[in-house]
Amino acid sequence: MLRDITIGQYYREESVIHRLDPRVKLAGTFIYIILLFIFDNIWGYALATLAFAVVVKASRIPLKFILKGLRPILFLLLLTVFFNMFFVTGTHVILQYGIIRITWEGLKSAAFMGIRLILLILGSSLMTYTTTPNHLTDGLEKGLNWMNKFKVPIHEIAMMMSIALRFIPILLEETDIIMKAQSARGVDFEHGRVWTRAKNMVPILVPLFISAFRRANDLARAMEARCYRGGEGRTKMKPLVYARRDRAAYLLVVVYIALLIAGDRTLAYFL
Amino acid sequence: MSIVLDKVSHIYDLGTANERFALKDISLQIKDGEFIGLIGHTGSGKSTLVQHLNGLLKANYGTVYYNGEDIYAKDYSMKKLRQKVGLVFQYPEHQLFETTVIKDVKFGPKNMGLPQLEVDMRAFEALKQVGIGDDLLDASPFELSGGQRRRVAIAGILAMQPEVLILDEPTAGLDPKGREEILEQIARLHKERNITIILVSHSMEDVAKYAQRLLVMNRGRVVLDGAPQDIFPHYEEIEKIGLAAPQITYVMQSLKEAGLPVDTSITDLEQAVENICRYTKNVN
Amino acid sequence: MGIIQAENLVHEYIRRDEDGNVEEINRALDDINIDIQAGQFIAILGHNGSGKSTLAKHLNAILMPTEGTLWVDGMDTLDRENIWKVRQSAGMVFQNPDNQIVANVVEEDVGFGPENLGVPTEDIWKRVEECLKDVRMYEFRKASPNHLSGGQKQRVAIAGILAMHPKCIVLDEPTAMLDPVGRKEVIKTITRLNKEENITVILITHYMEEVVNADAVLVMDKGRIVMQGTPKEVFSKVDKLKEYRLTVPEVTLLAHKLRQKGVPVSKGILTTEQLVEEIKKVM
Repeated sequence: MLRDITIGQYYREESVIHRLDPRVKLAGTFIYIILLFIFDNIWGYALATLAFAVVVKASRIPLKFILKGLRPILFLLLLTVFFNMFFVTGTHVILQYGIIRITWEGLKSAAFMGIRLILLILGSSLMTYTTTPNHLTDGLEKGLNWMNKFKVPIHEIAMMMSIALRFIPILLEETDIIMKAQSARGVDFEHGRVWTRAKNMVPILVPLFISAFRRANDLARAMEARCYRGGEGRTKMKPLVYARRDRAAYLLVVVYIALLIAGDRTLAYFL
Repeated sequence: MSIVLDKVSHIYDLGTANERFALKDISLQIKDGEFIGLIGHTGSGKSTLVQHLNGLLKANYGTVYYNGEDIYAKDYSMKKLRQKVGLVFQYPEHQLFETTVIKDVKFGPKNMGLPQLEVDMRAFEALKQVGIGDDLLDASPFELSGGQRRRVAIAGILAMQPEVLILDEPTAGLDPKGREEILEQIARLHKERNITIILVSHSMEDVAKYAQRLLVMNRGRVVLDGAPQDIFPHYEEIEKIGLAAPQITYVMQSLKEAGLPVDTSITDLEQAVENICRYTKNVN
Repeated sequence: MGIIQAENLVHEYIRRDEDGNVEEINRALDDINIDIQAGQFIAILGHNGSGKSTLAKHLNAILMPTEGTLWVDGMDTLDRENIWKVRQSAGMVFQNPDNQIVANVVEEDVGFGPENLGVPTEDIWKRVEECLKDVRMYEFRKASPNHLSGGQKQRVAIAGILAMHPKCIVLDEPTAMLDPVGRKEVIKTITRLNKEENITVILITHYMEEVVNADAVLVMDKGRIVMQGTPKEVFSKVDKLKEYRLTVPEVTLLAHKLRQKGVPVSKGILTTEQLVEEIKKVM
C-alpha cells in the first residue's frame, strides 16, 4: 500500500552500523564519495570495493537486498557504459566494424565509470538502509549546527524534513483516494491525449493542495499549542552523543584515507 | 436490474509478506430499488467492497455482474458503469475543486459528454435535490458550511443520474441536525426516484431507521444479511464483532428479560413507544 | 477563582475589504461567563458554528478576547507574557488525529511538548513513559503513527498533551472523525484521567452519548451559553435541545415520548439501564 512507501528505505536490523551516530555515517558517506572521484584508479576502486564489502558484512543486510537498489538506475548505468565504450577516443583499437570502433581506452573508461557509479549508489544507499529518516535528520541538524553562524536555519530545515517525512505517506494515500473519487465522476486518467491527461490533473491537484494547506495550518496550530517556538531553548529527548564505537569509526575513516593515499603513491612510483 | 457478486475475493499486497484478504469469497445480489445498510467496524472491508461495485478496485478472484453483464469482460465500458453506479466517498467535500458550486456539480455530467443544456439541467436538479438554494450557485464551495459542502459534493454524483447510489459514511463529522438532513434527503431520493441506495455507516441507529436490508461485515466477509428487525435481535453476535445494536434493541431486550412481553424486533422509536405503552400503567 | 474563568467574554471576527474598511462583523462569542473548578469534567455542546470551537481557541490563547476577560489558571490570556504558560496549563487536543502528530515515532511525538518546554532529557523519558502508560499506549511507543487506528492516534495526542503536565485538557471534537470503537477508547481514556489524575477536562462534542457522565453540560448557540446544568437537567429539555439543532440519546428520546404518552417515567433519563428500571416500576 502507498502508506508503506518510505523514502530511502530503511532496513531494520541490529548491527553496529545501525547503531552508529548518524553524523559518522553522513560524514563517512560524504568522504567515501569524494574519494571515489579523487582516486579513480585500480587501487582506489579495489580499496573502495573492499571497504564497502566490510561495511555490508558488518551491517548484516543481505547483499542481495542491497544490490536490488541498483535496479532503478540500471538503464542509466548501461547508458553511461555504452557512451564511454563507443565514444571515448583512443589509439588501441580492439574492434572495428563499420563506424563502430571500440578502443582499449574506451573500454577502460567505461568500466571505471560503471564501477564508480555502482559504488556511489550502493555506498549512499547503504547509509539510508542503516539509518532511520529521523536519525538522519537529527544527524543533519546537529552535524550542520555550525552553519547557524552563517544564518542558515538548520533547525528549521531539519524540522521541515522530519514533518515532510511524516506527511508524505499520508498525502500519497490521499492522492490515491482523490484519484478514485474523480474517476467515479468520470475522469479518465489512463486514456486520451497528453493535453487531456494534463488537464485531468487539475481535479486532483487542486484538492490535494487545499488539503496540504489545511493540514499545514492544523499542524502549525497543534505545534503552537504544544509550546513550539523554534529551536531556541529546546531540549532533546534523544540527544546525539558520540560513543566509543563512533570514535573508532572516525578512526577507520582516517585509516581508509591514509591507505588510499599510500597505495596511490606506491602505484604512481611503479608505473 | 441488479448487481451480483460471484465469489469475489480481494487481496491486498499480493505476493508480499503483508499479503492479506480484504474481501473473502463474497457472493450476494443487490436488487433494483433496495435500500441497503452496510455496517462493520473499520477495516472490515466495507470500503473495499463498495469500490468493487463500480470497478474502482478489481477482484483478484470472482466476478461482478451489473445487469447481467460481466464488468470484467474485455469490451465492457467502466466509464459507463461508473455513471450508473455513483460512489460518494468519505468526506466527499475534500474533492471539490471548481471555483463555483454549479461548475463543480456540472463536472460529472460534462465528463459524460452530454449536451450543454442537459448538463445544466442535471446540475440544477441535483442541487435542488440536496437542498442547496439558487443563491449559492455561484458561491465558491469553500465559502460554504461543512454540511453544505458535503451536500454539494453529493449533488456532484447525483447530477450523473446514477441508478445505484453508494454513500460511504455520508454523515461523518457533521452535527446531529446536519446528519439528519443528509439522511432524510437520501431517504427521499430512494422513495421518489427509486434509486438503489447502499449506505455505509457506523451508526446502527441510522441504518436501523432507513435501511430495508442490512449487510454486516467482519474480516472481509458478509457475516449477517437480512432485514434490520431480523438481525438486531441477534445483538450478541453483533457485539462479538465489535459493533453494538441500536439502544432501543437493548431496552426492548431488557424489558423482555424483566418479564414484559414486548416485541424485541422493534428498532423504530414510535413503534417502541406504542409497544411499551401496551404493557404499562399509564397516568392518563 | 476556578481554573478557567470567563467574564463577559466577547469575540468578534472582523472581515475587512481591500481598503481596510470593516465589511462584516461576526460575533462568534457573545457575553460568555463561566467558572470551571479544578477537577471538573465539563462538556460543551452545540451545533457546527455555534461558537464552541472559538471558545476552545480562547482557552488555548490561540484567540484573544475582543472584550471581557478570560483567566486560565489565574492568568489573563490577553497578557502576551502568559501565552506559553497558558498553553502549558490548558493543553489542547484537536479533531483531526493525523494533523496534530508531529514526529514519526510515537514516543518522540509524546516527547515533543516537553522538549519545547526545555525539560531535561532524563525527565522527558520519564514523562513519556508515564503518559503513554496513562493512555494505555506504552506498547506502541516505537510504532509509526501511520500504522495506528484513529482512536490510538488520538490517545497518543492526549499523551502528548499530558506530557506537558497541564492542569486542564481541552478537547475540541476529538471523536468527530473516529469510528464507534475509537470514540469509546478516547472517552474512556479522558474519563479515567479526570477521575484518577484529577485533571480538569473540557470536552467539546456533538455526540450526546459522550457527555452523560460529565459534571456539567454547557449548550452553546449563536455564541452564547443558552443552557447549563447536569446532563440530567439538560437532557430533560428535549424540545429545547432540538431548537438548538441538537438531539438527545435515543433512550432519552424514548423516555421522553413515553412520558408524553402518560407513562410515569422520570425526566432526563440517560442510559438504557435507568429506563428499564423505571419501566419495571410501572409494569
